[in-house]
Amino acid sequence: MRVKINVVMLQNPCSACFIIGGLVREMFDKLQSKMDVIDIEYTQLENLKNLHSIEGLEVESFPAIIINGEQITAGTIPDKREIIKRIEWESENSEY
Amino acid sequence: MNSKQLVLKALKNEEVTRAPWVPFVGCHGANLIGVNCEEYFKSVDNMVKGVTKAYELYRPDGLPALFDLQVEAEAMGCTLKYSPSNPPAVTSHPLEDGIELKDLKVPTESDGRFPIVLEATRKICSTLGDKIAIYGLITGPFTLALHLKGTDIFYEMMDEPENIKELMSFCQEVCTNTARMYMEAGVDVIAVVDPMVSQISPENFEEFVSPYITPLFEYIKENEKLSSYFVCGNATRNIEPMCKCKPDSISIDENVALDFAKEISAKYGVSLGGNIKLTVTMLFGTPTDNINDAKNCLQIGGTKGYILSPGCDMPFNTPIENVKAVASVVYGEVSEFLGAEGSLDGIEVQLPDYKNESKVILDVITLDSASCAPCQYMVEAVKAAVKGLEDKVEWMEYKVKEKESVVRMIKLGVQNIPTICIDGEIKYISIIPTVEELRKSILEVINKKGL
Repeated sequence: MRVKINVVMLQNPCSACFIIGGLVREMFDKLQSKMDVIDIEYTQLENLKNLHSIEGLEVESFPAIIINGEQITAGTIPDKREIIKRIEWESENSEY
Repeated sequence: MNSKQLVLKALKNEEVTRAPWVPFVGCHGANLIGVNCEEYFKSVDNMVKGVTKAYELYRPDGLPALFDLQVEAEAMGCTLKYSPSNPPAVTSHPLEDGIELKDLKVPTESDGRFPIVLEATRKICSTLGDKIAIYGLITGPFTLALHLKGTDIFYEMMDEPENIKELMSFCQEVCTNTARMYMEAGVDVIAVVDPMVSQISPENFEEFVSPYITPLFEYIKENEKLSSYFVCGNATRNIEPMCKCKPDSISIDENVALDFAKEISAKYGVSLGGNIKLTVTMLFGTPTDNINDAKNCLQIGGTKGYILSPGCDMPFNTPIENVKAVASVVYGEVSEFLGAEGSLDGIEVQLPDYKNESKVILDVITLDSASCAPCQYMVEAVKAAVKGLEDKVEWMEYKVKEKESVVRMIKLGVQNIPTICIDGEIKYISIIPTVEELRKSILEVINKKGL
């Protein structure tokens, strides 16, 4: 089953969010070339008013990673190994 | 005492006549002179023009010469991707790509963009340096290590800690040399900007950061310059370890509560800077939001060892009028934005006799829920909380853009927006309650009134 990943970032982030956003993007670019089950979308938020339109976004801290509609991180660098495990699990079990 | 002296005294944790104001103009400088970020960060003239424009518009007491945490990384072989409205981003990490630490060299005046950056800094210091404090910003050692190594750094901190300590030691050398270059260019303050420490625990901080950054602050002090340790992101748990590294000052963003940081920094005799909200207030807010945020910060920060500043590098598109509004608070000219003094004369507002009203009355004081995000969330919380209680509760939004609302706000004793008053009592100031919490508060008053 395919796994849908949404990486939500602010268009004008602070220095920390900016660097973390770059690292997250880099990580998913690499994962995408190794894991063909994932569909990645990068959402750039221009305005905080648009938050409600993002499915699964609960904690408003960025970058936020949402996997199959569930938010996994908020403003932190994720553990790549955990992300891989989660993608594998979602791919095998999720009915999303 | 001129602006520069004001900043220097505040950084030394001394009492001053008013809190100094240091807007962190980095990529925003590009917007001020109508160029994109790439054109800005690669041009001496543009950087000088941008900082000069910020000086003219915002009446600051201090300014950074440049806010770009990628200069050192680029000079050591990291690839950068430039963008029109953000600082450049690091897109490759030499130590991840097969290059060994021993092959990296400490960048000097002739490497990467350093010739441009140092020339711009020298020019800025020579034109503005007698009036305001000029900050030289260097990339902190942990953030630099992350640029060089990529996210593998987090695994190696656990698996191969000695490798990371060796890397941190190298980064310390880079930081020390970069600080030297900026000090020789004439800056007054070295700001060590290390946002990535928000990603590690205090234990990791003390093992992998403190031993390498403390000597850096000592080096700056030996050179008779002042230091500030900048962090952004939620670094709450590392504020105390940061102070223990003995910088003259720390600077935080809105992810850390200013009163908490004030208490900790005061304990260590370290001054504090921050933390006007970058996104909600400066970028998306109105001048009134900025006035209120600045006032709150000034109230908490006080006039001893406190510098009013944004939480971090101001976004490219920050509206000029918002930054000017903050400057107006600093210089005591707020009435310019809220209407001249006396303009409320003759406006009568009669508050309800809350106790004897047949309903519980919620007054929601906002800037305008249609344009201010926190106000919108607060109004939405109220709408959800009163659902099903319409026969017992009445609520109304009062926007302070209207003079009648300002009079009502004054009569209720409300000083911050957004605020919720329940039956005339101030209940939630700036903090948006959960629907459950707010409903519980309303039900308590309903029961008390016997409705």
